[in-house]
Amino acid sequence: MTPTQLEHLKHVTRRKFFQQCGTGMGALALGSLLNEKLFAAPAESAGGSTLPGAHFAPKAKNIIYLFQSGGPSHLDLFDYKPELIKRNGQKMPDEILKNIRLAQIGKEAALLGTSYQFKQYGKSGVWLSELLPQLSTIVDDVAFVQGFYSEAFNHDPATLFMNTGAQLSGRPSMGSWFSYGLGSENKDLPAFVVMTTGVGQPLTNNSWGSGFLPTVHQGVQLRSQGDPVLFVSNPAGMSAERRRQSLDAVRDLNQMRYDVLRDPEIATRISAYELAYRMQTSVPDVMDISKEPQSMQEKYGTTPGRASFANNCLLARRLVERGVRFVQLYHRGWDHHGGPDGNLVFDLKKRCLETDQPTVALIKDLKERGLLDETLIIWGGEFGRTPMMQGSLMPDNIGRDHHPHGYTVWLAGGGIKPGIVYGKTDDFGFYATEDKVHVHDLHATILHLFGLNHTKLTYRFQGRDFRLTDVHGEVVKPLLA
Amino acid sequence: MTKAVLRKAGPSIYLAGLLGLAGAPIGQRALAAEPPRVDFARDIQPIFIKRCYECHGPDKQKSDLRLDLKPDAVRGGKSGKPFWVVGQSSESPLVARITSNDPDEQMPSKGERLSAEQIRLVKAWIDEGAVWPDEKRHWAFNQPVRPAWPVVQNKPWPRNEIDAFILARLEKEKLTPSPEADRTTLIRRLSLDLIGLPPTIEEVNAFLNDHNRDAYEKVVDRLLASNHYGEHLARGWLDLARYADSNGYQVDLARSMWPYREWVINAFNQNMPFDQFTIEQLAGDLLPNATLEQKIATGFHRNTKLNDEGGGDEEEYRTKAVKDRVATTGTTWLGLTVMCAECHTHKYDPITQEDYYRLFALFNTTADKGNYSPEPAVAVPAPPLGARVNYLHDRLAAVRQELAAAEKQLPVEQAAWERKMAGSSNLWVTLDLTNAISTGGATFTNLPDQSLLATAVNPTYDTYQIEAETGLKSITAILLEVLPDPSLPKNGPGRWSQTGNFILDELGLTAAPRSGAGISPNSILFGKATADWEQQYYRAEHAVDRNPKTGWAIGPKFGQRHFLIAELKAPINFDSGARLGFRFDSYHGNNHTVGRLRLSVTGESDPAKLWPLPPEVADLLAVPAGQRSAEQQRQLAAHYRTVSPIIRDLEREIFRLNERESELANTKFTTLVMKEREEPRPTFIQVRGNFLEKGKEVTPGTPAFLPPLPAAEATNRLALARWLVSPENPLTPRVTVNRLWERVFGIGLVKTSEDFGKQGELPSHPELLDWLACEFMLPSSTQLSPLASQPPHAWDVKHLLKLMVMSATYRQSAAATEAQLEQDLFNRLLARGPRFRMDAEMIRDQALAVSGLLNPEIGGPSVYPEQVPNLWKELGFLRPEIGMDEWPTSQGPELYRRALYTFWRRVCTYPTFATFDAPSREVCVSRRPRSNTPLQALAALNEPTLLEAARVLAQRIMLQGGAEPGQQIDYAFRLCLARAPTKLERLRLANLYQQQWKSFERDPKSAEALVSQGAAERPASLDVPKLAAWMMVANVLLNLDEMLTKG
Repeated sequence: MTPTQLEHLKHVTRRKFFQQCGTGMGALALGSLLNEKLFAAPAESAGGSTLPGAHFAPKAKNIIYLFQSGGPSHLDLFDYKPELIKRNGQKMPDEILKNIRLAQIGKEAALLGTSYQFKQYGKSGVWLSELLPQLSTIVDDVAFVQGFYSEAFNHDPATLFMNTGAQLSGRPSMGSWFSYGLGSENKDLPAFVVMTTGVGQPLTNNSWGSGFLPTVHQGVQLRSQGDPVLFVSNPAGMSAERRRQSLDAVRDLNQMRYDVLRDPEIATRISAYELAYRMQTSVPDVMDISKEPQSMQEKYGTTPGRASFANNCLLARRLVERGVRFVQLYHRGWDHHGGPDGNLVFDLKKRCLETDQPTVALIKDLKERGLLDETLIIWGGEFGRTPMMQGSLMPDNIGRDHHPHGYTVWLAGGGIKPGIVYGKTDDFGFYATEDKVHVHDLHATILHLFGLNHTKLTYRFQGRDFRLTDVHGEVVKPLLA
Repeated sequence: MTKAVLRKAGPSIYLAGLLGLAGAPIGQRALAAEPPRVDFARDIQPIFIKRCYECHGPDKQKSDLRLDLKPDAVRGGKSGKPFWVVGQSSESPLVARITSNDPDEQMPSKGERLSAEQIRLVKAWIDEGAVWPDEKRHWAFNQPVRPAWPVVQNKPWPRNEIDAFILARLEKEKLTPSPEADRTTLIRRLSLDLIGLPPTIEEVNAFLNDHNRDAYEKVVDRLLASNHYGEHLARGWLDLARYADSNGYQVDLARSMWPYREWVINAFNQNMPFDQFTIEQLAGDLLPNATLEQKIATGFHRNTKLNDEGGGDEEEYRTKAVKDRVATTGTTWLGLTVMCAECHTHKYDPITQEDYYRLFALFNTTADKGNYSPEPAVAVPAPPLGARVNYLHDRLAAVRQELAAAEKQLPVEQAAWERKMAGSSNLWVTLDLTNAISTGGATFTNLPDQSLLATAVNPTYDTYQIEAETGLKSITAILLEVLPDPSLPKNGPGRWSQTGNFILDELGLTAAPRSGAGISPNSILFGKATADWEQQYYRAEHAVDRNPKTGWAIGPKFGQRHFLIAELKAPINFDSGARLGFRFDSYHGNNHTVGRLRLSVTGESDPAKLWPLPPEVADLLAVPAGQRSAEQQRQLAAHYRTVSPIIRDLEREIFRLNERESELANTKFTTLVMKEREEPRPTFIQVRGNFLEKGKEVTPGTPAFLPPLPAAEATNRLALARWLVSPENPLTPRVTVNRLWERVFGIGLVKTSEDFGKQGELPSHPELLDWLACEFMLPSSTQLSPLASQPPHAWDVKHLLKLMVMSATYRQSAAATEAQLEQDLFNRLLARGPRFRMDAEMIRDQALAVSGLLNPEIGGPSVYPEQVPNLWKELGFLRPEIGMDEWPTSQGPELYRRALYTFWRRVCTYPTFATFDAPSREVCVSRRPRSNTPLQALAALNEPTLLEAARVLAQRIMLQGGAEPGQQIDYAFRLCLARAPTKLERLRLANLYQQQWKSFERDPKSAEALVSQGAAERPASLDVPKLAAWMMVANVLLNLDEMLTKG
């Protein structure tokens, strides 16, 4: 049965309910009985699990995806390559570049070893760059996937690939699949929310679109300026009380019409308007981080009222606390080709300063609250960067090109085995060589953590059962706790 | 029944139990003959397709075993033994393999094992005789034949052929049709379906008072003749054509495609036969002596995306565009998921990978590129821009009046300014500039007037770093002068060769104490920035906003001195004076760098005194006011005009309005078209769809299972287009009539209107579908058209639509009975009239229409109605045509055009449209989902244009609705919904009005705030608390389910 059919069957239930109660039912009854889970349309379920719609017992309930847009350099942050440093300035061996297409540099570009200091940390002995001093304190909670790889080397297809499993637009995003598969735990908030910060490569909203899934599953963008959700605020001069009075009239008139026409869509509309009204309170409430104590603000490095990645990290915690299933934060500005607005000296440092502290504060905070076990954290970009240099050696012109063939993403919490390094790249940090993890494998693994079999979470469109993982993907068992 | 029960019981039991259905829901299964036991097509083939074909199917035959063709499968693999033994599952290798526990033996070799149920089915199938019926040709691939009228019991009910087919099925299902809807419902339904706009009260009255037998048909004919009909039909077609005003992908620059949109509107309005409509869009350029219009039509396939991101592989993106053309052609005309065969032979429909690339070859010969360049394009005549020009004239007159009024105030303001400036000469200290570096390689020359001139290398991008020292103890602002110089292109002050412009993307400043060597400089933040001149969208503040994508520029006032004053957020205070480091970033490209500049600093704390004072003006100020000569007074007044921010702003606006006017007069309008390349391009099968992996070369052609292209013609796009609409092609007419049916009735006769293949749903009324398809190709209906001025022609879209809306089926009331809901929840059998939520664009258009705001102009370039501010900026987009990130909100009547004309940006769809299920138009979409969500409620309640419409509707109610609230409510209700309210409805709205009126009387401030929504005029005569109360009522009306729904 498709979700649409399911939705319609729910209407029939409502219709029966209307019949039994007659007309003139108050807002209260409507609110408490009919509004459940408008944001959710659970897939067919096997039963016996804690998440509605899950295929088997899940490890995680929520997900926070810290998407670092532009392609952070794995070679200057996570993937320590002494050989590359040794060969600084030399040419990349031909056999490595044989079948490679590059976005902006030529194949003769010189190798570039990192100029940042690396040290080993934690029980896994992972090498980390001096640019991530905070992260180095929690490596025992983190699984570094160093043999990660993707396929696309331009931003648009690569970002879509990471988010939807396809390079072309039109497929549902990961968060939409979660909303479709599992629904929301909070009836007043959407299952999938998105927040963005930073400047740099543009983002396209099909990265959080619902593709061919019903629109109710698309990512809802929470904004740090203006309306937190588009049109959630009433216009000047219309108090909440007046809005309630007008909604009472909308509801009463809709109900009169329902009595004549008996169209179940009218009942759904009544529910949707009631949920909209509740969102007018619940959304501004969750977005108000000034309610957090000063000590918490300091831990994250937040400034209420100013857009920042730190603010969004704190908001992410508030959202998962309230049962939002999938929170995705995009931070832009990792596209360091060299040049004054994207280089490996000033700009890479700035990005790390903006993100290192709040990211770690978030993980510690979740852990203290006992939420880390059920919240999966993902950190990564749409690709890494080339071992070859782009630009010149001048500090504000030094950079690297796009690189999908081997880079690092890291995971924490939510049923991930903590304190490990999984997979590796070759001596240049070019190809993933051992324990490779493909984008589809990551997707399969994430779904698995939520009790979803990636081959069974399907949606029929244009005569085909579509999946987030297309026809690929293997669950990466060694990453599981 | 609760959801818990639902989960435990499983959906199918729930469905059967709740609806009382005995396994016969409407659709696919109901129409298939009930099979006896295990059915190969239903139970076994899907298992083969999903789990076996990958290795034993059309593309690969491991161990020589092939399971998609019956003879091969029966013969078995290379072992030479049959793969199953009829009647003996336990003896069959197939069963042995799927039940084996030996990892080398077990099948499928990849993924999970077959489920116990699947294994049971396979065994049962073999034991029951392994019946594999010879495949019948899929219904949709057979030629439609006009069926005879079915026999019905209720003879008087049918009004035309459609009704006979519908009624026959209803009678079979023991359902009876609903009574005809009342007249107000009918005229609203017709209007919304045929022109996408609600009827006016006058139109409703005329229909109610017309007692002739043909009154209904007259309404139909009037609507079909309206030019708004073409707009409404075009909107649906543009989803298929993936029409948009931007290129797509991440950068998503603007393109000029509106002439194609206009072509579609006109084609529908002229009722162009659908075969011609098809041919011109797919191959208009290849027609003999192709007209401009026919070339514009080929924009259909230029709506493919273009990649503007640096570093893209041209061939990769060109190939993607060609694939999109194949997919779109497949969906739009054939109703087939052709694109499934891109990487491998289609798993369900008889389309091989070779078939796919033969179609691909037909589109692989055009001259367009995949990135950067929109060519080929053609010039088109300027559209009528009358309303826009009139608006500019009106606006100019108004601004000139404001200017005159402001000028009257000038002497008073000047006097105040003079008092303030008394005793001060120029407050700025000019700096000696040292250690200037250009990262782009330019060299600098210090000139005697303390300015710095960039010379020699002229790099595309550049960053200057310049140092200076000052003894000033406190610095509050800096002054940047950009100066003309004969050595610069067009006299400067910038270095761009075309104009002498520059774009200062970011101005940076660091400061350290002059004495403290070794102390690292601090980065200084700027506050406000002003300039004597700002190019449109390139404002002074953009140079200091820390956003490198925005900057200050001075076009079109080139070749002269300009200056920018940047105030510091907090003053720099060093007792020893300061060492300053300036940074000038120019990232725009094309040598948009500053050519000659001079820098000054000040410690003045009053921002009002910062406007630089030329020495001669300072001298004049020193002369006491009473002693100045007339000439001196004139000079001083002339200078003050440049100081006054009000005058500056107004003069700038006048300048821009003039500029916009001449721009409108001089713009060259173009549109993207298809054009054959001179050198033909060979086509190869792409292995696994990868354009880098070439397989064998293929010739152009159509899929082998459909009739071939005519041999006599050249095999090109034109031949393909003619083939699509040839009588031999069974798909195009079925697919097209089904889509028209879907528009009117909500769900197609084939629900999957994009897929008529084997995975698509079977038609609910197959004979009706074929009858309509035949009627479309060759009209014969005699039931109709006493009034029509012309007899219907072949491929006549208006004729088809008229047949549908004239039917008794269409005219039924949409009210549902319990029995109808139990038996036919989705109304597929049509025992009641169609009722469903309107599309996003109609919701906007309707609100504008009922409030009277709608600007009914047809055609022309896209417009920019009110949009949430900064939406593009948040996502980091550049404003397409000029490299900025702002939505350039239209002004005046352009704010109220039909939604169809809204600038369609693919990566950031207009928010209310997206909320109400509009697609992004990146790819072809055959049918939109129809969701019902809280975000839609929020948008309908609070979106600014819908609120403005509520306010203007409130004005209309007060001005035209009569004297007392009861009358006014009736008027409003009829404006919105055509019908009069019931007693209860009237009472409820009257209560709301009274409640709100009283409340606003006590709170006039809120009333004023509420009715200030939007730019449209508000008559001062209207009582504000009453207007606010009516606006609340109007907002409620615009949010009613009935308002958002066609029914």
